[in-house]
Amino acid sequence: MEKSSKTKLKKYLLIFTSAVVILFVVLVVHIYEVTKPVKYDNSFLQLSRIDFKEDIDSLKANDIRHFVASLRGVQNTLFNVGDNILIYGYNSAEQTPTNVYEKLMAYGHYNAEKFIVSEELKAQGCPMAGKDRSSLVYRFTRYMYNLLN
Amino acid sequence: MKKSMFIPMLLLAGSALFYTACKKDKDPEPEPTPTPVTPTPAPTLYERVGGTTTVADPKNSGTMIEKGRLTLRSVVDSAIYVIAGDPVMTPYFGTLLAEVGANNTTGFAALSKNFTDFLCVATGAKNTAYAYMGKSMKAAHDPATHSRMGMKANAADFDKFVGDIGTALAKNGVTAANNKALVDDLVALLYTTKADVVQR
Repeated sequence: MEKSSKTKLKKYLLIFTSAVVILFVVLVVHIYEVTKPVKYDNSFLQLSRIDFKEDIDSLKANDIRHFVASLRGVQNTLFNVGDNILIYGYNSAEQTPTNVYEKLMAYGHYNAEKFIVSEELKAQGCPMAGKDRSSLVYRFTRYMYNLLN
Repeated sequence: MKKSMFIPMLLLAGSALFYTACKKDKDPEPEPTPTPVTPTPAPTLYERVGGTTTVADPKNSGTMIEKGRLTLRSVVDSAIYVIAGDPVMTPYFGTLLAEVGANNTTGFAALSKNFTDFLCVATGAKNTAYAYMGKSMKAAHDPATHSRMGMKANAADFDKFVGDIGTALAKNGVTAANNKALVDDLVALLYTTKADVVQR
């Protein structure tokens, strides 16, 4: 009787362990499938912002836009005239925001600053634009991704 | 003909003539039972902005892209510039302007893809490659369930966001003046998410 109870216990343990292992394998495969490299259309396009501390009218704004757009690697520009803000997109493999800023200041001697994103701002905001890096799920996923790639 | 037969014959002929003259038209054929016509479904918003016709992708030489997705991506990419330059949006989209190292996905690239995927599905795209895999709108905009949302969004900021999308539409040649129906439908679509996004 005792022997048959032990046998039953072993059997149940085996089934339980097998189920856990199978589920773990399914989870790992799932993580691999959803975290394998995603193709982005604009993978090297980076945005940068320059805030002008003086009023820039639409004429000057166009001049600034055209100058910045002429720099190597810069792809698109937008000037928010009401708030005196320049946004430009550049290929991060070909250009740097420091270089763009210095060249623009040398060109127009403007009273302006590069907008620097604080660590606090980097960590928050629209979830579509970044990842929730603090969650356990993210950290486990990241660990498995590094293990598999 | 004998006189006595003349009048009966005349009467017979007259009756025949009368009969044929007054003969009713043949019973009209029964009207055919109308075949039920299945109304053609109205085109989806995705079909109205280009649908599934594929064209060369200007951002990826050698690959094709559905016209509907290309249109939506163009609007999204324009909108990202407008949003990045809007100080009201900065607390929500600061990561767009954070510089990343080589081979890291930029905030622009991530938002462009995810938001385009979202709009493709929401406007009726069937291509499974465009499936939106993110959190639900409610969970994604609640700091309790998503720590990236440093603060909850309010109605005024949501309206500003939709306004920035409208500016982006205009940059792509679509305005209320030249295509009111499309603008209204796109704005209405965005506002279907308001109840989930606005939590303050």
